[in-house]
Amino acid sequence: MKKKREILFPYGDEMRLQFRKMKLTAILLLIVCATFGNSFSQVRLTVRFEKTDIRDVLQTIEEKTNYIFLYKDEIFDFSKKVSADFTDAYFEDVLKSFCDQTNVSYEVRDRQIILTENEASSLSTVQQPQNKDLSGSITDKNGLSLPGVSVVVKGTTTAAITDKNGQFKLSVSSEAKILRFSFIGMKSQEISIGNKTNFSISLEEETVGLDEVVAIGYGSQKKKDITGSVVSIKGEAILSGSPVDVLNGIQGKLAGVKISSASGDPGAGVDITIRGKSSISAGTSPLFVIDGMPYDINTSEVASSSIGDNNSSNPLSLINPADIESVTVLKDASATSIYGSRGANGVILIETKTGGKGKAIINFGTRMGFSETTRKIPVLNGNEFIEYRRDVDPKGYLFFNNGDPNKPLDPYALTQHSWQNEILKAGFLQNYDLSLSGKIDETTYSASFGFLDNEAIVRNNDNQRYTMRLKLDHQKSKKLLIGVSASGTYSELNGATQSGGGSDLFNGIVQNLVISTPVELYNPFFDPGDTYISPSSMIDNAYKKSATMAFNSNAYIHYAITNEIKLILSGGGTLSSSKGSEFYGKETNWGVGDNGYSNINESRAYSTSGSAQLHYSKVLNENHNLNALIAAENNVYNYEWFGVTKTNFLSESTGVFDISKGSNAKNAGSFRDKNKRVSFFGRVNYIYKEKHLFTANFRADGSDKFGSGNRYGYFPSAAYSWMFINEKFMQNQSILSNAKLRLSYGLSGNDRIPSYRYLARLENTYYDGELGMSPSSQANNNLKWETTYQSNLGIDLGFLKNRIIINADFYKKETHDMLIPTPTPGRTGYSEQWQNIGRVDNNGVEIQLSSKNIIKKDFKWSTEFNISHNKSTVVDLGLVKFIPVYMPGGWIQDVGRITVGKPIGEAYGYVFDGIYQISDFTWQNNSDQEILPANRSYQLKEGVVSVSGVNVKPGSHKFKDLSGDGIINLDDDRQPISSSDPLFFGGITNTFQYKSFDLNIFFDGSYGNEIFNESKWRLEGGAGLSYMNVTKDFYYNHWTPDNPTNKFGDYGDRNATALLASSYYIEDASYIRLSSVSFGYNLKNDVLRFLNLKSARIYITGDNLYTWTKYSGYDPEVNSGNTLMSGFDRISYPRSRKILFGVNVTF
Amino acid sequence: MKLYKVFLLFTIGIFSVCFNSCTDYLDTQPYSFDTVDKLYQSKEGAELGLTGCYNTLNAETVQGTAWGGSFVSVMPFMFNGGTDEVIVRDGFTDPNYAPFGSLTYTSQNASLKSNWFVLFVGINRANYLLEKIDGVKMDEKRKEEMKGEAHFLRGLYYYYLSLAYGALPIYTTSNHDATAQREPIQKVYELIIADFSAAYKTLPGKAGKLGRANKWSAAGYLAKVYSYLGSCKMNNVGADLNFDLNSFTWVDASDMYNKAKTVTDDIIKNSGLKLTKNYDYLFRETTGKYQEEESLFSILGSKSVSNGNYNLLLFWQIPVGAPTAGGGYGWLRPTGELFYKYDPSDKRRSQNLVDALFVTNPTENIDGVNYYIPIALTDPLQINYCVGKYRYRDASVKSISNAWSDGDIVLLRYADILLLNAEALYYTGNEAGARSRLQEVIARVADNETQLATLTSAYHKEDFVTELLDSRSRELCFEGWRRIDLIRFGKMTMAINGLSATLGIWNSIVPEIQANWEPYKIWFPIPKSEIELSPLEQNPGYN
Repeated sequence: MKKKREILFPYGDEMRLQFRKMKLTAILLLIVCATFGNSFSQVRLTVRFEKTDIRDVLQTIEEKTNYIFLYKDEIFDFSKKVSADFTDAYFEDVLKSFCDQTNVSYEVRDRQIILTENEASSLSTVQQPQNKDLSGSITDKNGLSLPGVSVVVKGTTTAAITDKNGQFKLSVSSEAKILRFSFIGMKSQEISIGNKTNFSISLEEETVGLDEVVAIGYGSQKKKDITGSVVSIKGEAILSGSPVDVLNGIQGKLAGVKISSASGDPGAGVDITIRGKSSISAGTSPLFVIDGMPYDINTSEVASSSIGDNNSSNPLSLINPADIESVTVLKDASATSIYGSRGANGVILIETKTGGKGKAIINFGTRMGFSETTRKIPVLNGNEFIEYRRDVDPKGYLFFNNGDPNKPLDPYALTQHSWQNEILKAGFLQNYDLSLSGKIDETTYSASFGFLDNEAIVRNNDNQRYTMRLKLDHQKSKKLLIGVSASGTYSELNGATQSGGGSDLFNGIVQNLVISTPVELYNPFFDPGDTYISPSSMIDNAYKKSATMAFNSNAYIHYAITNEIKLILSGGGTLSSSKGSEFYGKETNWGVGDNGYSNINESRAYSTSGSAQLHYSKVLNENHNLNALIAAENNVYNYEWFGVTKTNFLSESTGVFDISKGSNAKNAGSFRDKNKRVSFFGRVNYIYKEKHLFTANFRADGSDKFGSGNRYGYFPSAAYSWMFINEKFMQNQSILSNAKLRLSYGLSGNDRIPSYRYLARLENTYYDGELGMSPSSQANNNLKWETTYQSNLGIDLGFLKNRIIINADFYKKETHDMLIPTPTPGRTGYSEQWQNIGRVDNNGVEIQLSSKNIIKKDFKWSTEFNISHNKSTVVDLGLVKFIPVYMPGGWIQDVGRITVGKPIGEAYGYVFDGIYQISDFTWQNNSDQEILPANRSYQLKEGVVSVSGVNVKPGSHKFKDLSGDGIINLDDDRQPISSSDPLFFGGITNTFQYKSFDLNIFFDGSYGNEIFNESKWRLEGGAGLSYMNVTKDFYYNHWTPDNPTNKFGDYGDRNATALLASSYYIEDASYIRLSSVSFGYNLKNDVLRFLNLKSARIYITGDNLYTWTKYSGYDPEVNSGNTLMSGFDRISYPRSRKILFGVNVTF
Repeated sequence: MKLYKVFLLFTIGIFSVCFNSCTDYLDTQPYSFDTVDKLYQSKEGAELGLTGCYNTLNAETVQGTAWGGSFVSVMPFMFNGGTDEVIVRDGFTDPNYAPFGSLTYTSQNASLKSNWFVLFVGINRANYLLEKIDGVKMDEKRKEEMKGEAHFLRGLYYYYLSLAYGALPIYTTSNHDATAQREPIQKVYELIIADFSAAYKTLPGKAGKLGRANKWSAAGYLAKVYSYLGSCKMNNVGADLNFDLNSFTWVDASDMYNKAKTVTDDIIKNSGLKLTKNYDYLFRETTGKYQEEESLFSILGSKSVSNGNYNLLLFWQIPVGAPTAGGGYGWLRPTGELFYKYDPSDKRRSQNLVDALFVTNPTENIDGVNYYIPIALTDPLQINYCVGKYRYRDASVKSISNAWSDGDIVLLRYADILLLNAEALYYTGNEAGARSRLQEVIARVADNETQLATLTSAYHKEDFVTELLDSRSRELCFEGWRRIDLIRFGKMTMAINGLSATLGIWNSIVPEIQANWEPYKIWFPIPKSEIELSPLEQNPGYN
């Protein structure tokens, strides 16, 4: 009788997940519903057989469930056929039916199901008479012992399970021929016994690839069933370069995700954009969802400096990267629109590690090592500096006491310094992580503690972080699962204002390292105090600490109402409290003007969120698979801040710890903000014949950021995916192992603007120290969300059994109704009003490629590569044609401009056109050559382009006369001159394994982005009278009458046009960075046994080893902190190179 | 049976999410600011609103933008820079400020945009008060005074706006129509005169709060307006531009000068104001009580260390030098011509034009407060030749940042009234009376009759107007009047062209400035963004 095709349907996504979870616990991503049932009693499946061979049935169930059947052949009558028709039934019920039909009984032992004849005792059937003793040890590819592996003599019930050290002992009959080793998540292996009695087996992980389950918003899906554009990375890959925070760990590894930190400062802010900047004023960073809890980054949650650099630290740096299971990035609308009004900038899902599956596993890891600056900016040494000053200002303070010509000074008698060498020192980093996970009865647990101590390369600048985390899941009954998780962090960031960054004064320590005079010279004209203030005294007389505590917790209940319907209720909250303490003494540039300055401020944020989700899954029949979700969610966010500043400290002895010593209360303020959101949303996934996949999302979001008429926004999306690999015409080829086309279109929103911008607000307007109040804005009741319309075309291809996987995506994003503080005519009495105007487009391509180049027993080589291109265009800005972007606090401020038709992030200025030469001028006595250049009164020759309002001289920068009128002026001779965003960026990781050694090499890079290097002006003698140092490159090559170069001008203070924003300051910031190399060794089994360890790895990691770039500053990866002009540098903190040694052991 | 369970559980879920009615749930109220409708609800609220009207005079920023748009920084550049008194320091190219010193301002200048905006904000605030205050239950006398102050301030903001830009849209309610067009200068001045007159009538001779507008503030500005209009008419100001909106042909000059004489006479006779003994005490941070003797209206610098508006003079109005010694930046520098306008014995020269300030310089003590004394200047070719009129005290005894000043700036003072009275006397036919007023002003800085005679003869010009203008420059230089004085007497072009490129060290930029000057630049351009956002007629010559 010809059997009908067996069909074994897992129960939709959720059930697939259950199965995957059992298979892949070690690598599985935790998602909320994944914890729903992971014991035998919770396993459900859909099966249909009709008159099918018993062996086939057993084999199929084994494959699908990873439970193993142990039986003696003789118990079955194989001529008998069995039938079954179960939809999402408990495994127990399926087995019962099978046993009834075949007249056997079953017993479950761990992952083994022992089948015996009905009448016989199940135990006795295992106890066969034996005459040969076998033993052995079983490990994974890393040599980690595997407990719980089933060892079965094929075709018998003779079996054993490995102990906690991966050891097994087994007595077998002499007829036993083949041993079968199987373990969840590993490929089963069969070994012929022969004469061997001892076996050392290494099991390989099952290749996951497309069967991998990844988190999506409010659920998870098999990678192959995903219709949207989603990219994910596992904890392991994040940790490869020993990052100190999560974003640092994923930088360069995910296509379409651009991450750049402001500088190498341990507290530097991080800019992260997915698929380009799609907003001008409403924020461009994605939504973060940490273990299901949505989390908008609010950088002001971390207390920042009240002076100087305002780049605040990233709250995500509070998460210990070692706790991360996976990071998933949702990019296209079909993936993000489930997050509605918060999804337009993409969504990053962070899942932390979840509980174990058996006895406790304890993992301890430590790493420590040194860091050093990768680069020093070559500036003049003391003697060179004296020569430079002699050239510029021979009558100055360096040569005469107080400038008095009768009191000459010996400048060589002054103490000389090389500040960068003296202050940039070796840093030291140490990190310890301890984690524990396991399962007791029906409760799984996972806990961890981490400590990081990062002493940076500038004296007194360091960062400590303590993290802890606990997760518990309890399977109360078949239907009910309850879980709680909590995590806490305490982090301290010490060290005075380091970088000027983009937005404030040029007096950070790092800037001073470069610009401070290399001789100890007090210049009464410009030194703000009564003594010479050196970078060193600025470090010693300043105190700054930002201490942040953060606590997150959530709880959830999963309840299976029916086989098809599951309810998930979850709720949780976050609390963070951050305190900034600063004290700047008189011997610092920051404290001298106020006679000592101290600030204490505290930010506190607390939020709650809750959601109710109903999940529905139904397999209608073999052709139709349906999944649906409807849910509601709310969020409340509170933020409070207060700060007080005192000045005029007659005694600095107790600093910030007793600010009552300051006699002036300079400033005190407080602020509170609250936001509420209510959301309703749903999703339908439908799969037809494993070929056609459909997804539809809809979300309605209510937010109190908008007026009563416009509080609700609606965000639909739809996607279709064609798995053409499953089509008939693909059956006869073997090259492609996967082929899928993805199409999606949808809407997502952005509401990340300050609260209550729709109201007519009053501002405090003081006069003569008295409080006044005045209108500061006009109401706009029509204010609503920014809406991003995104279409995506993607293709996923797998070649040669998925040894090569390519994912490519093309997208087009249009952001309409942008939330912009729109300029209004000044005569209305209001400068701006928040309106929904304008449009920004982002188009791009992303390619992610992964390849297993070599898979040999002892040698493996795999490559991960990604590259992205994005082009942003400002299509419309309403009534205005451009929005100027100022970079306040410096000499050159009018740097940027957002122009219609151009990308965001462009500098705007004159086009550098070489240097004015002497031949461009006439002077006295018909240009008498006898007159010394210094005494000439230069007049530009006719026809040589002049600069409006400026007295140009030989050595001044010359600009292109774009308007052709012979005169350079502000209005018509400027144009966009740089682009902050790269044409391409990406990264490549190569991983090698040779026996017990592993090697991971990671490069990342960026091409085509540019930086406006404002510091160049000062380092080229611009602020000449204030005695800043200059670069060697400039000093030895600058323009002089004898060196009529067109490359460098004269000293900045003699070169009036050097102060104008021009392309002279634009530098190519493309780079390729050897970002990390990690080399490790896994201890062998015998050593492990001796040490009583399950596994151990020792490694050495080099971080930021080398950067290939033309950029002249410390590092080409610069981010000013202003998303509208990120490519702008005023000497930012150098990024350090680190060499770390580490050990990871598992007990 | 299962269906009801689903329903029940899900409903509980929804309710846990969304407490009662979702609309109410989202109806949150701000914690850290109020809404506009809450302002004029009480007497206290009205006072807060009025303080807000003054705030615009020297607000550092308004609505978080327009940095330094009014008297705090931009207006001193606008009304002093690019004259025969003070010019841009060669090499200073800041696009926000340098153009005022080099006469290269364009409609895209960000400072002009700030200035235009901030002054209209002041007008809006005053309009808001005038519109709402009648509904406030409060003491009627104070209410009338407050209205008087609001009228004064609205007049003041319109006056300075019109000096800069000419014809303007006129707003008398708080709802400023964005499409309103410029009304001819005549209409603007009708409003200004009406406002000042109302304040002149209702305000008391001494304001309830020190430093707030009083009767004489309004009288003084009325005198300013009358003499401005009279002189503009007589000198055909802007006639060659053929721009009707900014035309002065409608003015009755003799009527104006009669009125100017009447009002200045009233001030001289009844205000109780006088020339304070020490000229230099008018310009220091801590000499408020002497300034009061002479000031008709001052811009107050907050004495509070934490709240309020401070004044800012360090860009160019104080001597260059060490910040701790009270030194500034010197972005604008005096011309050599101004130096030589003084007799060497004139104390005002050594006050107004100096060399740098260092912490090694000697100090002087004025009523217990130390001031560093700048190096005396003997030759305008000294590299540090700079404006020294205003003075910051020793920064080490200052409780606010040493960039800022808590001192007051006298905007209109009695010496100016005497000079305006002289002008009015001259144009109403009393040249002798006029000349004696000029001498009255000089007398303060003369130690004795001999020196007074020396100065009088040194400064004597046959043409009264020439001497008047020189007198005004010597007395009032850097106080924001020179540009307007040159313009209203039709002498701007002459003054610029008359500068020498070599007389002072900073005069080297003079050829550039002369090349940049165009007669149409007597008016500042309407900011381009203003026109782009809602069309408005531009002043001639600009685009």
